[in-house]
Amino acid sequence: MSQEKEKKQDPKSALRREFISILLMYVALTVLPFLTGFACSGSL
Amino acid sequence: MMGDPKPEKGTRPFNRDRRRGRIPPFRQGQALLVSWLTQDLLGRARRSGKKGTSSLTPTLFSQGFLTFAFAALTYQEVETTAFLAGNMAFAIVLTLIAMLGEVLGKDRRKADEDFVLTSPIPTFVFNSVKMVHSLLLLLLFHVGLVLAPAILGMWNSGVAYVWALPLVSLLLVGGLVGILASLMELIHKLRGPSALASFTSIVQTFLLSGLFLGSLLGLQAMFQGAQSFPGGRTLLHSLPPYWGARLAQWIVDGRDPGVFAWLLVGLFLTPFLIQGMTSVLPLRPGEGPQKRMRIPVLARLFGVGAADKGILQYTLILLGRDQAYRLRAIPLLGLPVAVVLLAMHAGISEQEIPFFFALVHNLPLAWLPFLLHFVPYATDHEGSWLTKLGPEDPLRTGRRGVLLSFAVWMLRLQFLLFLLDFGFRGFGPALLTSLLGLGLAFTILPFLVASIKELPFSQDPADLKPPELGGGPMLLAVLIPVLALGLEVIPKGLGALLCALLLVVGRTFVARSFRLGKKRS
Repeated sequence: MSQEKEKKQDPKSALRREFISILLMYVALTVLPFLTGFACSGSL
Repeated sequence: MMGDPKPEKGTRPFNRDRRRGRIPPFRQGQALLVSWLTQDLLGRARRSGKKGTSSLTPTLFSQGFLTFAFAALTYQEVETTAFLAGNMAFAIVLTLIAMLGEVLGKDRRKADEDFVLTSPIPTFVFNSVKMVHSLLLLLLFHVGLVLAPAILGMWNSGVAYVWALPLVSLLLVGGLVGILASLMELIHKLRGPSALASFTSIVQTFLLSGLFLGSLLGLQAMFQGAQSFPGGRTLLHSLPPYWGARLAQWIVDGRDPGVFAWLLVGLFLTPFLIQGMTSVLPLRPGEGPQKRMRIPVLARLFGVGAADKGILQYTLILLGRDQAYRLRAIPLLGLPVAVVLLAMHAGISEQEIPFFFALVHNLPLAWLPFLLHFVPYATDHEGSWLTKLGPEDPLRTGRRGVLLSFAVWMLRLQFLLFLLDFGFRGFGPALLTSLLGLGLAFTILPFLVASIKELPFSQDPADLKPPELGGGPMLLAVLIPVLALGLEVIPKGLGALLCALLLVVGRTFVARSFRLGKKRS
């Protein structure tokens, strides 16, 4: 019974993971232009 | 139901509500939203049997990187309005393409008809969730695309544009998606699902080709000024991204938006207007108007028999109507068009004009191997049963249909190019170059069609294998323009003789290759 319970997956967990990966993508897409901007303006 | 066991207490959700005989609208909406989002974000991966791979994340990254590259190219030397308008236009077109394919697509319509519309969910909840879902997806995707331009805009125009650009861009794309969705609803009601499919693929094609051409010409206009864009300042000012740029400047710098503010108000009101019109119209049966099928008269040049006519009609319909094929083939045609437009815009000297037109007449042939590469892939790939069940060898039948269809297309295309050429160079040279192009195409076409190894329209577009770099198609794409330029150098008399020879040989090749049956009508 307990094993069965462990196997049960939250139907929203895949979606949650997906949203986290999208957030990480946002972070990457934010850092990249920041670095470019600072590097090209000579502040880095 | 009679035989159903009573559910254990606390083991199933919504037990209390079930006992009352209803599920609260909020929970219904939540469940619907979760299932729609799961279908959008993970549906494609799950359909192909993979676990946990998303379709949005890689798309978001690759397209976000494209907008970053576009912004990085322009943020240092371009004026603020041009920077805002250009970057917004680029991100908006990418978002519209994605929304059209994923959110407003017909797969969702089918799923909704089967599962959602048959459930006892209130209309109010359904419509609210539909709106929230569309807005959420739009927000998720578009924010990712405008992040990089917004941040780089800090160095171009000031810190305040970090929030102003995404805000205005989101408003704009929301309005445009609204117009598109309401137009699709209107066409579905007026003309039925087949007209809707045609409309969707036309818009998609237009957006894809426009993205390619627009980004090339737009980049040039951003650096050299609006007058370097075909259509000039008038055309650029009549496009919504320019209105958006003026709105952003009004919010941040207080620059008077003038008439563009009213144009934006009109843009936001249009979806409501179309929706209002759609709601009063009765839903027509989903058949669409009946069309009379005609065999193109030009096909008679190849002495087609009854079987040829059938397979030609079938192939022409599938090539013209298949969404996957249109999406892959027509943007490819955008490249020759872009070459023509860019060259015309750059200004060519009188001595170069014959070579330029020799190139233009033969570019369709140079791209033909790539178009043929996509022929086996079709959205309705089950449609190939027709050729599979026929009395002839299926691959031979398929190749015959493709050969005749492309020969007919080439005839039509060369005629259009002749009209264009006629306006520039007069009757004689235009006719000779057109006929030379046609003769060359007819002669090479059967060999190209023989390279189709899979039955036309039999493969799932998801399994597409890209053409090999450096393979036959690439080689031909390089050789054909060289050959075309060479043909333009030879004397006119010899050219006419060669043209007649190529036309006779080519016509014979097309008429005799992959022939079906022995009896001819």
